[in-house]
Amino acid sequence: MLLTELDKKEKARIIKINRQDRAEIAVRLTDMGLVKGVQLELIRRAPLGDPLEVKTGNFLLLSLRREEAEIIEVEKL
Amino acid sequence: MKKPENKEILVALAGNPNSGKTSLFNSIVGTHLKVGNYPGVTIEKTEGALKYGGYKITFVDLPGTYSLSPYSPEEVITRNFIVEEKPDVVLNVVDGTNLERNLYLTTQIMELGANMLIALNMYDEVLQQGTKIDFKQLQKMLGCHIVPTIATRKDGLDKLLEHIVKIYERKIVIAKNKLGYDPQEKDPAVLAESRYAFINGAVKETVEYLDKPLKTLTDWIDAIFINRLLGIPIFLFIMWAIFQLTFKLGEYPMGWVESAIVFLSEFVSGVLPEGWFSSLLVDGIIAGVGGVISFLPSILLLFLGISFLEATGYMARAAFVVDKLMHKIGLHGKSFIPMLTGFGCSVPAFMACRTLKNPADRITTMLIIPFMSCGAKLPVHLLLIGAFFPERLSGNMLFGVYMFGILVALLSAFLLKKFLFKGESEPFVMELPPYRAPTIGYLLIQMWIKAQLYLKKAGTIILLVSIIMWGLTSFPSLPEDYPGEMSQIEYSLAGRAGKFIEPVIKPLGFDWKIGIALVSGVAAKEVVVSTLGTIYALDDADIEDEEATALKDRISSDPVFTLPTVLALLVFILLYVPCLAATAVFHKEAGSWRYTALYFGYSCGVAWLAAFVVQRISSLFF
Repeated sequence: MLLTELDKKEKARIIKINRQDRAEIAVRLTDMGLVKGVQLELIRRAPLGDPLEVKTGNFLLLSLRREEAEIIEVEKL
Repeated sequence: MKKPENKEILVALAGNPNSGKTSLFNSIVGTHLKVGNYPGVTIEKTEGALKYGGYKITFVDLPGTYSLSPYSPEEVITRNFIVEEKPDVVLNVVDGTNLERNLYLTTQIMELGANMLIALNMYDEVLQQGTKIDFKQLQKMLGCHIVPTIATRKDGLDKLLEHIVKIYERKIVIAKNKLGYDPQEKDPAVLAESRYAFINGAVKETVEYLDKPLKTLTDWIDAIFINRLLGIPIFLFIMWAIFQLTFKLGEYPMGWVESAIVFLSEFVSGVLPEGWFSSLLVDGIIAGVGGVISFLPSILLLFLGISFLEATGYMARAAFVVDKLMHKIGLHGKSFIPMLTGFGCSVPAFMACRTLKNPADRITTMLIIPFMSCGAKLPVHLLLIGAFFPERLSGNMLFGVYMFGILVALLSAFLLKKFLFKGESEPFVMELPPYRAPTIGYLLIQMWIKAQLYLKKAGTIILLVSIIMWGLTSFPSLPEDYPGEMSQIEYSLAGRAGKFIEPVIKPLGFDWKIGIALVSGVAAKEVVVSTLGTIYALDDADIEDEEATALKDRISSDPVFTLPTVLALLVFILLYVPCLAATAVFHKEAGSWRYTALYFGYSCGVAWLAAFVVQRISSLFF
């Protein structure tokens, strides 16, 4: 499933970043620590529904847009 | 004579955005550079030096980067500095609460073979979170020394300096073969994965987190502040509160300064014999510069509000909350941070646009920043609102003026992106840093710096323009036997120039006096106040009124200021081109005369149009 399909408070692990033709975003996600194997939790969506806020590791809060979250494949934990 | 042991050590500070490099730099070198709790505060590398143990140690604060891939300007600056300048020590500042992500940059610095020392910053927060780090083992695995620091409390600085000297003297040897992977790997995805695998291995062995992480204060605050329902109302409330405070709290000290100025001008005109010199002092300098100085308290309060937002970590939240809206108009949530900074001053706001990677986004954001009313425009708003609106409405009026600016800015961005600067907007992967309490000392020092700058401006450019405006409004003198009705100012050079441009601004309800003030305001916005001060002081002198009065009372008795005209003037001042200094910075940042011409023409054109519409519509009601 995709990261965007998670519900609030659900935890998951990244299994794949779909890099094809989104190379720039993929690099940015990598730099920010969103790589295969990382566990994350969907914290909330912004008041207007986008972007999403996820927590990775223990404390790091990241915000990313739906279109960026769509290239992240996860499995629910 | 240079002693042989007087050697220089060059230290580069590298680290992730918001890891506290600048805080550490300030603490070590004793500077007061701007810091903030959001990624991307430092946009230019800065140098500072100190003497320690017989050495001159020069520190270079580099902009924060998440990696060294040649992907953004900051990353290139940092990489080139390490490769080309070959600093003696690369001080890698690591946010201890985010070890895994921060060590990603660390592995890349290791790949360059630099002499690295790690400052594990925010160590107080690490302890609070109950995290245990086995420093010895982690040092062994990374091949370099690690010093825990708390930059804001100046903890661990001595140890850092000691280590820097030891590394320089080769008393500490950096092991450079610790990477368990091939850094020459061609596939960037594979390389990234092996870096993280190396980091995870090291962290797993040396760092112990609490089993169940505690719910942090940040979690609690965010649950309310960026809540789906309350997020936007709270954002609006915060902005409203800042402007209310600016007006309400600023009013008291402003009143004192105003009375002091009235007293001073009465005193001077009492002691000095009547003549041009007394007029220069009273009508030119005291009325001009004094009027500007009386707004200092309000300006400091506004800056305090903005600094507070920047220091606590709310800025990134504001970007998060409005990103969808910004996305709709074709911009980036991050564009919102320079826009809010623009409430203080356009100069840092233009520079902050460098954090926007996409050139189309960047130039669009720069073009709409003039619509974010800056601190220098504040005195003019305060003067007009104070003179023409009842006190209970004043804070709300001010808030309304600023919100109107944001609306025009957003609408402009939409049109600019749609017709002039097309292009995809950049990705929005952004860190939301934990909330942090600002250090009071830092806020006070920033206020003090702002106050000095403001007074310096009042004493130099505003003084100069006031004297020039006094000259232009006083000469040539009206002949005593001049036939017909004519005031001194109308007869003067400035008066004639004002009459000349009057047709352009007549449709907005402005007369030649306002015209002079607006033109002089291109130099600096406070000058609008000082010029009005001089014009009305001279006018008053003309009527031979004995009592000196505050400018507020002088303008409110001039019939040209009808309510529609006042509203149109507020809108015009809000939107038209910022001061010369800001324009110069815009030109430097945009790098082309075409853009600078567009910026000037666009802001003035929009100001005229919006003022015209406001004046016409409000004429229907009042």
